[in-house]
Amino acid sequence: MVEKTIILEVFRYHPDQDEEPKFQSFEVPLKTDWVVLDALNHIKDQIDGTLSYRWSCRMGVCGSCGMMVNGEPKLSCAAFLKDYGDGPIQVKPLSHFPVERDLIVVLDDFMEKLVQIKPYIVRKEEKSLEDGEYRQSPAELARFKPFSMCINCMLCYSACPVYGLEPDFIGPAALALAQRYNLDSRDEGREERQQLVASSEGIWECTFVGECSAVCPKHVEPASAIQQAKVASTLDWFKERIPFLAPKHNG
Amino acid sequence: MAKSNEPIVWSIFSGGGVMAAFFVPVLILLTGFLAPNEKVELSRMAEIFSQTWVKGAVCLLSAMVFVHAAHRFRFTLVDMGLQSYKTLIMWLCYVSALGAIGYTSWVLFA
Amino acid sequence: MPKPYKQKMSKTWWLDHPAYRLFMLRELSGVFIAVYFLILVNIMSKAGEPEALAECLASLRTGPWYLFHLVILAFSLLHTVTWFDLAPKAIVIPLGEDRLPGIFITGAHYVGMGAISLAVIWFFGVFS
Repeated sequence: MVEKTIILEVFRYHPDQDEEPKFQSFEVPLKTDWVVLDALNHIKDQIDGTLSYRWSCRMGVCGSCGMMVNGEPKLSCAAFLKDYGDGPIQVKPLSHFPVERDLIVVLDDFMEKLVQIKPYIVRKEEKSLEDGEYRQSPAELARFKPFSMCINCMLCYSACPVYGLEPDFIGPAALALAQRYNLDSRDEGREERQQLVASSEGIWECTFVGECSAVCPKHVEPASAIQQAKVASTLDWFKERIPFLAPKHNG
Repeated sequence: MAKSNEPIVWSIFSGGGVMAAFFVPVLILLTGFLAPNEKVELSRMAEIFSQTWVKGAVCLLSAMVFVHAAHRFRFTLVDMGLQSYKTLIMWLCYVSALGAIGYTSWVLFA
Repeated sequence: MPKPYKQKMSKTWWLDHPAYRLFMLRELSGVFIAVYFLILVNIMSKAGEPEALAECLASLRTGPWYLFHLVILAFSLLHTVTWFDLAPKAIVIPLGEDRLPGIFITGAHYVGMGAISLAVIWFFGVFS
């Protein structure tokens, strides 16, 4: 019996050998339970061992295998071959990032921005051990929990046209993470984060296209985080200019 | 990086968006379809449109809508590839909005 | 030192994907609504001269003007629908461990808009 197959057109780029990237076609078995990652592993094992790509958990929790599948940012471990009809399936590296090699992109810009928004609990004064633990109710947790589910897969950066046009934009995931900490009842660092978050490279660059939330595999809803931050920052802006409403500044 | 002053424009943009979403469809229905087909008594319409508070309300509403449109169009032009002209576009858009507000005030109150 | 390949963004990225196309139309609706207001205030300015107002309204009874108003109405409804759909993303109302479902926020907007529309039409005496 002849096994059904499907063609994958894969982006190839070797930094030392190529001036321009090219596409290479591979014929892979069309198994009903295979995802694009299975196809890539098959190619690397059986056809062309030089194909380079990132992956790890193969179950949608590590965020390593993000790539463009037929023009859509997807986790390759979550894109089923059978959903692409007769093919061919075009596989490219994540949009809006420089390509290191083949399907591997340079992550540095994203990593820097993640660090810049201070993704940790910031306290004006740390509690001493004798004071006991921070207590947080389920309701307080629920306020920020969706924003904490980010796996740093960067699909949102590829979906965001603003990030593509304006590389200085802090971007959906970083801003959602900032909002996660701002909404955490244990955190007191919102004002510190505002210097970056409420700058023109932060939330104000966003035009609410909404594609970041649409492609997020963990339903983080970064677009929502950014709009909520816009509302909060706007209220702040007015409060700071009305004397009796102005928040007290810590010394 | 300092905190931006976008909030002042964004609040007017938001206000204009809300007002437009609620009021504009029925107004278009009224002036584009109902009134021309005499479903509205001419004298009633003339009476309402002459009232100062109505003119003031429309003036305010239109001001918010002009700023809303200018703000949106500014980002649209930049998003369509004109980032290098970001600042020029910003000024052109908001000045046009001010111009439209001036024109509206003059037409209604002069 | 190996050089990373800088991917180029398409100059017409907004045409390349249905979500982006809808986004562009949504953003352009603002301009159409602004244009409508320029027309509205022109009509309003004739309120003092009944003959001029009647003439103005009569001139709107032509094909091109109906088409114009239909296009603007379509864009205005696109603005309303997308604005109301996005409202719950910006306004989160926590209810204990849950939050008020977005559909209620959107629904409340539609109810309000319906009420306002009926009030405006009633105010202009369409129901008499």
